Amino acid sequence: MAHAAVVAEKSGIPSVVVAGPAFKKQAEVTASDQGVPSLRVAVYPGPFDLHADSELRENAVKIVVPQVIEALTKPLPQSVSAQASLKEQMVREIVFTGTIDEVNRYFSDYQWSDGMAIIPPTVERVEEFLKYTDYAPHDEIAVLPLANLRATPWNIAVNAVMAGARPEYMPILIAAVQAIGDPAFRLAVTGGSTHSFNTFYWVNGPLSRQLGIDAGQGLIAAQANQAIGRTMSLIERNIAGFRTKETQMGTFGKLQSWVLAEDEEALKKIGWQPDHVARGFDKDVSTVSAASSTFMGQNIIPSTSDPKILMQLVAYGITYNEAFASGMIDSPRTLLITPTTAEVLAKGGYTKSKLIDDLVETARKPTYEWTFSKVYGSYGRVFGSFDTELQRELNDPRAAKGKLPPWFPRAPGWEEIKTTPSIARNAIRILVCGDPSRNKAQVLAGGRGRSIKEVKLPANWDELMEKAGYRPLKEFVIN
Amino acid sequence: MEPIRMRSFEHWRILKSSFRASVSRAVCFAGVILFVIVGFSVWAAAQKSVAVQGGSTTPLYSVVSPIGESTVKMISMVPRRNSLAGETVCMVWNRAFKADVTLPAIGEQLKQLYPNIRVVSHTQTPVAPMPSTPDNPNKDAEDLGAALKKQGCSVLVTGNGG
Repeated sequence: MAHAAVVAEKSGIPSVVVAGPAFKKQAEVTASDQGVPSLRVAVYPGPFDLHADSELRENAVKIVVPQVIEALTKPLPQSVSAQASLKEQMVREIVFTGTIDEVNRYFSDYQWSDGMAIIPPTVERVEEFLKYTDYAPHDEIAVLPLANLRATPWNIAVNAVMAGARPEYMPILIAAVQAIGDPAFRLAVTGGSTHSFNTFYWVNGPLSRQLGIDAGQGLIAAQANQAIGRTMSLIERNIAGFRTKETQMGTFGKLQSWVLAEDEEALKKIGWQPDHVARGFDKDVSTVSAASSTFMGQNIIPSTSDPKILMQLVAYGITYNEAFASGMIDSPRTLLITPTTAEVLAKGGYTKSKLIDDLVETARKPTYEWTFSKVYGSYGRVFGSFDTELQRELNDPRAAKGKLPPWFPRAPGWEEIKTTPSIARNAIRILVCGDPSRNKAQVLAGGRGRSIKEVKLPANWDELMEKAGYRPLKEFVIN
Repeated sequence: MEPIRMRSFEHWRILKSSFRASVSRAVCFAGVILFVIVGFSVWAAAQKSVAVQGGSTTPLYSVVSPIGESTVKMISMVPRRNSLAGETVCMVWNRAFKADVTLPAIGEQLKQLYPNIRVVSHTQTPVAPMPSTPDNPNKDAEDLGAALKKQGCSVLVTGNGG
């Protein structure tokens, strides 16, 4: 909502934002990051959605209006203009010298660290990372919202040093920053959301195997995966500008980014395509994809060898492993399936594409349930009473009779129950990964943005990796 | 009186005795010296460890900042109005958090307080735009700016943030 005020102020129109108590700071910082140094905010005393309309009106009149008048008529204090220039000055200069404990305390005080111990980012360590890219240190990789700060190989490397990542991860990190910097990812929407959308990444192609980015059991907790994930979380803090209680408003907090790799050897075995190939990339190219998810939730444990029933179980997970009564009723899903589970589906004739077709067909909710969730759990898009919305949804062409999902009993009259799809075809991604010996699937329900970027390697990659003790990249190509 | 002549074995006995005494004295002396040296070494070592704890050999790290480079130029804030009398107040909502209840209530109250104020309802303005970046400006922001100008808005109230 601060963005409307930003437009107004830049047009020479004094403005004020009405916000809940915890969002005053967010509005001010958001506006400052957009170039408006002194946004005015009128604070409403509490959570809007939990107050009856009568209470909302009363509070608006008695508590908000006086603040609105003051915000629009009281002269502004002499405001900040040094903040941006401070940021410019600090690039590349030594900002502090101290012991490791003193450095950690300094970074914590400035909110540059996540509270866990960091490796001090000295110039020498940063320059080591810069060897692993052909980009110049201050080339623009992306401009990241919300703070609209420029991500460069230099500051990407600084955050990577802090996180304890290895220099050879640099190409992956650059591609990951490009992915979240793509407007299609919608970082401005998911990065600071109260839904605590967690940004996560998956890597396809031979580079994931060469670098040891894990695709198997425990993958998101593997060392390389963790180090890359922590780097990206620090980048969201220090370059995108998402800080808890300020601009990262996740109600229960935001997790460190997860990093996955798809098990492409397992995919070859069952005849399924890696995700990046389905997106149009050559299989031997390496890519980084980005998406977001709310908290992980329960996994599915298929205990059947019948591929159709297994599909139905996954459809159940897709239908219900997303937020009920919170407005997120049609969020995109990323589906993680273990290799052995995927194998059962493949033997039943499923490809990823065919599986998606059947999941869309099966993952439905009774329209009444859909409407209940939307009306009582929505923050918007509701324009009337429950009965009004129900009629609207029942009349929607997507609502259909005779498509009750298989987990409902076929009681008399079941054919008359209208159901509504809970997922659209282009909203599903399927990744094969995880413990190959376990029968598991996991649905990640998240924000609407996704993006994929090709990883660019420096010309002397093979030489660098040989010196670093890695086997050559070509050994990790799957033929 | 003739001097007492010692027999040879007596010479040896006396020499041995004398030698033992000398050795004893030497050993004692060496022991004292050793004691002094050890004592001094312990004291000196203690001084050195104090110097280490004082920071002379503790590694120090000169570090750089992790934050990104700014791309946004700060504007100068437009002055606030002296009063809302005679102003055109535009309401813009973000379709969230019951702003369609609070904004009209605010508008009505402002009309009560300033009879010659003009309030443009949130239903007559575009929805609040989503965030944009300097190199990917959002068309919604441009549309809102144009609408505010068309309506003749002189002040804006927008909500709700939650």
